[in-house]
Amino acid sequence: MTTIELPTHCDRKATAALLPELLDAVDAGPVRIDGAKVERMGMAMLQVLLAARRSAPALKLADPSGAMREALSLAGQQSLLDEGEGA
Amino acid sequence: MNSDDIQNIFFVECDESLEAAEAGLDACKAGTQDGETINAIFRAVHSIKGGAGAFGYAALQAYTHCFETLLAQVRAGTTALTPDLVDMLLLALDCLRDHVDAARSGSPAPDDTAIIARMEEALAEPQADPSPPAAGSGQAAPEDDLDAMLDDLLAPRGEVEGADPADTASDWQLHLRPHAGAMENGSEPLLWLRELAALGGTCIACDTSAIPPLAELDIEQGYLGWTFAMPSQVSREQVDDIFDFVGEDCSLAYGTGEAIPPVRLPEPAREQAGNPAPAGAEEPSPPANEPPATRSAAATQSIRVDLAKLDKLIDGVGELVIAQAMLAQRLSNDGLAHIEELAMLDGLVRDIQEHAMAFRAQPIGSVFSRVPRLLRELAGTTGKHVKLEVSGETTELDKTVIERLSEPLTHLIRNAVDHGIEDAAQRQAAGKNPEGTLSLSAEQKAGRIVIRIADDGRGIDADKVLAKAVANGLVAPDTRLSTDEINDLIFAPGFSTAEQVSSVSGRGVGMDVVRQNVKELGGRISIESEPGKGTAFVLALPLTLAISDGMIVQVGDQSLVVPLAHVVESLRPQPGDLKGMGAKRLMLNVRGRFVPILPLSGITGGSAVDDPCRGVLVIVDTERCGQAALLVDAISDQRQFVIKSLDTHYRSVEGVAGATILGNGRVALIVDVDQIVQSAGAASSLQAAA
Repeated sequence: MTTIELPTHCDRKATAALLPELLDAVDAGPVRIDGAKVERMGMAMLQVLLAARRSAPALKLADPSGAMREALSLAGQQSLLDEGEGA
Repeated sequence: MNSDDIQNIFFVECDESLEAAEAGLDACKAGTQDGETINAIFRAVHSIKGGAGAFGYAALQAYTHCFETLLAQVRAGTTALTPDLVDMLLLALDCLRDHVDAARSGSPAPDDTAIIARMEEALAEPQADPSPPAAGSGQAAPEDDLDAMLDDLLAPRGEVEGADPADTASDWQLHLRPHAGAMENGSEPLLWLRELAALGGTCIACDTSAIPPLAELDIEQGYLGWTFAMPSQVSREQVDDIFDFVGEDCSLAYGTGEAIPPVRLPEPAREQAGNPAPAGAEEPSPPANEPPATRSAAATQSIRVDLAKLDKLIDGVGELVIAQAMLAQRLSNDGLAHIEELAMLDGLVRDIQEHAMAFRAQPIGSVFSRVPRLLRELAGTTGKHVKLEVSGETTELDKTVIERLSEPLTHLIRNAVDHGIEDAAQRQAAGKNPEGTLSLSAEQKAGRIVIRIADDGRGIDADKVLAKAVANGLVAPDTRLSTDEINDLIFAPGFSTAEQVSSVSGRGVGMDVVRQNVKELGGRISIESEPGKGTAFVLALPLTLAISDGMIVQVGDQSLVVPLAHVVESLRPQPGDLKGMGAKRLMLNVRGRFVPILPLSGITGGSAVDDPCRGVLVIVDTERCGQAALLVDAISDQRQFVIKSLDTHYRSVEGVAGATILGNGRVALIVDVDQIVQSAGAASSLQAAA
């Protein structure tokens, strides 16, 4: 399982930097996303995570930080925090 | 409209926001700390921040960000709004004003390190709960309820927990869809959601249906849309404020009848994703979302007009007044002075003039609102804490008067605090509240605006003033003066009673300048003082500077205008009413009071009636010299006149306040009543010798 660590500031720039790595990882197999360090979360990253989950239902979002939980809750997307299908 | 115009509008709005924030903080200080008040302060700072970002004022934006963050915590209830914090926020607002001024003038940003440090300290202290109480859906599902979450995720139109329609019975709905540009230039849609949540909004639907597979995703694109339930007490304006500077980058829709606006994708192939109708948006909802619709209608009740355009209109109205007077004259020559049409025209011209003047009218509150800051600064330099009482702040007067009033008013207030109000120890010793009180009031009285600046300080010490005036050589040591006359000496050039010249209120050059400023506005200033009780300065100002009412009088072959504001009465005396005084001077007995008679032929030259019993006496009231009777040949008319400055077109002439054009096309001089009476003799001898 590949683990991808989200950066502190998940803005559009960070999301663009992360996208190729995420694409490769999703193609390669199960992915674990580590959100422990996230302090700021933007809409771009949220969209990427939702798309990644749609493409790879087994994608797991682990250790979300308080800031990340709050952002997901604001956007009505706490459900991203589930275990992921088949994980 | 170019970008400079837009920036100017931004700065005008900044001023409005600063005023709103100051009013809100003042209300908080006075004990009104409800959500709406705090929200208004937040919105004000927020809108400055938005504009600062849009126009690239980085320092202003950074400062407002810090300020706003603290206000957001206060609004969310995580930071308690203590009196100390309100004081600190007021100081922060002063600094914000300096930031705005610096951005406007292009000067370096003020030093804000100290106040930012204090704000950060206030931010750091009580942050026990990092998430605002109103944030999010408020009822986050337990984390182990994975099945429910999975259902949510996989639902094509992401319905969200906490969306019980019963809970939102009195709410209204907002639908938003950020587009591609919404994530550019530091904009972040999730921050808007946070602000909606801070207003008490709850996400009831998130439309994820447009999200493509990861490989097709375009980072720049906006795929998500939301429906928020907003509490009924939140107005649409409050919500619109959040999206003030977003523009086209986010589509908004209001009300239950609406849905989340469609995604805007570049390729036509994706249009099928363009019309999602999220379940949340279709929820049955009570008719409580009407208020937003009615509020939006009220929002378009005013427009901004360039002042120069307005002044052109007012100039035009001035010419219309003259043309109407000319027409009246012409008709009168043909014996048609009293035709109905002329009276109608006269009424209409007067109406138009009043309405045009009303455009320029502004509430005096815009000047009064700067006073709290002044008092805070004075408290810092003098150590005297002064309570402010304001009344009549909605009284309106001409914009130019308002602008030029600020300086004399500031001077008077500085004087009141520095000289008038005693320090706390002295006040306590005198049995007064250690905190002084300054009252500002404004009211419209008989065609003039009367502004009163009163303190409850020590009052004017007449003996001290007289001693100082004698020492300065302003009056002879043996002069006998009434208390009013002694008080009046304060306005003499080069007079100061402060035992030590302080940096706060000037070096004795102040009060004569204040009087001059007020006089230039066509106003008068007077003093009411009671030893030990306080002092009040009373300013009487004209409503407008451009058009006034006057009495047209004949002196020899000339017409002169006496401003009606000075005129008390007019009469033709009997020989018994006159009394000679000295070789040339005549006094008029007006019901037991004697007032000096001044012939106006001094201005016009040439021959004029010199026997008061054959002419007419116009009794006028002056600012400093009491009453006088102006001797003229005859009174020919009373009408509105348009004031044309002599200084601009010729040069200033003693005894003449300006000129106007009469109905017959001739120029008539406007009499400067104060100056004529004053220069006619020493002030003391002109006082009514009752």
